[in-house]
Amino acid sequence: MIKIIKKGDEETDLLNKQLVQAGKFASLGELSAGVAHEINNPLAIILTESQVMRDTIAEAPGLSLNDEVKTELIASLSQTEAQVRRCSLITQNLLKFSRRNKSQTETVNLNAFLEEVIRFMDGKAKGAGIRFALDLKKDIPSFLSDPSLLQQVFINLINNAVDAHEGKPYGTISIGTRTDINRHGVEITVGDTGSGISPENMEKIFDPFFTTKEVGKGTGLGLSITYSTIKGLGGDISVRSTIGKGTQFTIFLPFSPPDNANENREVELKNEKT
Amino acid sequence: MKRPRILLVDDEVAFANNLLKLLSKRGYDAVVVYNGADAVNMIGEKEFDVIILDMKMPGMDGIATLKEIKKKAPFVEVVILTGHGSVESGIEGMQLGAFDFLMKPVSIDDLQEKVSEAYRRKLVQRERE
Repeated sequence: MIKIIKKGDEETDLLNKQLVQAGKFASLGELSAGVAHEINNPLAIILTESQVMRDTIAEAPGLSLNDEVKTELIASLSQTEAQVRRCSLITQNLLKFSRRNKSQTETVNLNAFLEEVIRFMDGKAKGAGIRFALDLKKDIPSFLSDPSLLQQVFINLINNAVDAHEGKPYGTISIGTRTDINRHGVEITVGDTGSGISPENMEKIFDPFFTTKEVGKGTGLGLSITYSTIKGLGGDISVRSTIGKGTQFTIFLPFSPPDNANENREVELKNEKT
Repeated sequence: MKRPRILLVDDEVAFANNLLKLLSKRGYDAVVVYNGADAVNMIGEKEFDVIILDMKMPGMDGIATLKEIKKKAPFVEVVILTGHGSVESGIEGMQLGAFDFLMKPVSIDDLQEKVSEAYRRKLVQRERE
């Protein structure tokens, strides 16, 4: 009896956490779109100011700068422009987080799709001494989903898995698929033999802007985007991890995406002001 | 090839003025206005080859301005600039007859290239008339 009550409490706790997470995403989505727009405009001004300064240095009559000063000024402007591009990438990610591109639902052959993503990521993994171990069950039927969104999800997860091996000379990323008949969908696992996630970080990993990567290496939006994408496709994502041994993400995707997935995006897009 | 006459429409005064400086320095005959209504009035007064149009502006927004511009000057080419990074709004503009769209922040080289493409199309269309 105690066990049953305890299990019930755990499930309630999990549902509450998921509810809080969904709420966070709804409000942060709106906020992110606004922030991205408001940042893009000043970035545009900074970039043009930098270009005006380049023109001035190159052409201004009577401005005599020695070569060393000129080189230093041009280097500073190049750095300014590089940082504008960096911020611009962040705003693009913010926009992806707040409003994914219009959904393109089509038939997906999951195993072939994953093999394609792995081929794409193989170079990066090999460079870090990591091999892929695949366990893709052959009985998975083709199903309707959004390949461009799924590609983003798996590239995010594999990128994180590669980064989790930093400091280790070699490692393995295991990817598995199996049909979940009871839930009428498919389960995909992405595991790694990396450093693992500490229990205190575990609850925050899907939070926007949470990152354990060093400054400049990650925006902290990859897993947030992954989470909201999977939820948008009517699926689920969970994670388990052991420090020093590795992490495994488990994703469930239904064979049919929710009917309102496209409708919701259409409304969002119509309401959008540019 | 003659340099195109350009109308810049953007409510971000600092940005619009910088673009004006950059384009003028590159030999373009450029004029700037800071809202959609002034842009529509300006079309009636002067002939332009290419219009660089911001989407999010107070009052008459980019889409409304584009519709009015196309009524008054159907053959002028419009390049949309959007700070929102929204592909959909750019596509909506193109469906209304805009030449293409660019997302802010944009470099002067990319903008110049797009303006040249738009101008070439305008010249080809004029030859066909």
